[in-house]
Amino acid sequence: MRMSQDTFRGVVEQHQRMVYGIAVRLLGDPGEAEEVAQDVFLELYEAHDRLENDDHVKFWLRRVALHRTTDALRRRGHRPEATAEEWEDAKHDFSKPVEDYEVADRLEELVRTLPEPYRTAVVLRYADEASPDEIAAILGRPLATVKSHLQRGLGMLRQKADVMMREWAR
Amino acid sequence: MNKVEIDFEDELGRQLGKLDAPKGFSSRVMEQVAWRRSGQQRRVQTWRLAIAASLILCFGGGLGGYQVHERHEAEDARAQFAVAMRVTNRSLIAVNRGLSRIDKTNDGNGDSR
Repeated sequence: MRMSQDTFRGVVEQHQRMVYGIAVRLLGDPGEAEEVAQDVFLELYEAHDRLENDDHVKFWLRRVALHRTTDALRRRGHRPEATAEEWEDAKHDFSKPVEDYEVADRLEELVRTLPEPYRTAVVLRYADEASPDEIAAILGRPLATVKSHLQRGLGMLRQKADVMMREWAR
Repeated sequence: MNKVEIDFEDELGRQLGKLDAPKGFSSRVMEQVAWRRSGQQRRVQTWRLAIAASLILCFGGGLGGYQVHERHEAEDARAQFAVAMRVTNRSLIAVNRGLSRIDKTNDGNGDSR
């Protein structure tokens, strides 16, 4: 897929929300997320000749954004992942008043702390609106596994969100 | 999936809606692309110059080598010619001496008659 500079700018503008969104949702740091997103698009600039069409570009961007974000988390010396059980048992601080944190911020924080692979599946499904089939293709995992990760991640989030809402209601 | 789960899914999707990229993001990407392209062009030019310089060196070296080879051949030929001339000279001297001896013998015979 050959692109002029103007076409490439169009592609960046079309997909920047998706790429930046994946990076910032998983990293939680807007500055670092922008750096990662820029690197992803620069990589796209080098690779666009090998991509066949718009769907291929979108698929490629999602996958590379995930990989580069994971690399950034590793570079950061990310602490070993908590298991699902540890995460469910962990006490998340919901005591701050509602004015300090919006519901979305709290949810994002919870999503960010979800153990892998639930976190990636949830971000792709609910923040990026990817279908389970698309997620399975991006992650190279069986569809049934992805569905199970989504269900489990969602269950874990709902449990914590219930606690969060109860804390706020007090 | 029950209604509570569906509601929670909807809420999650709503709350985690797509985030806008920072302002000027695409321009910053394009600046980096332009910078990278100019870097690539510089690298291509450097490579071209390096290849041209190598070719000139190879060609120049080859030509120089050929000239040295030619000079050596010419010197060898000159030396062989000098040897050949010396041999010829000696042969001619020997022939000349032989002829002189014959002449002297013939002159001696004529005197005695």
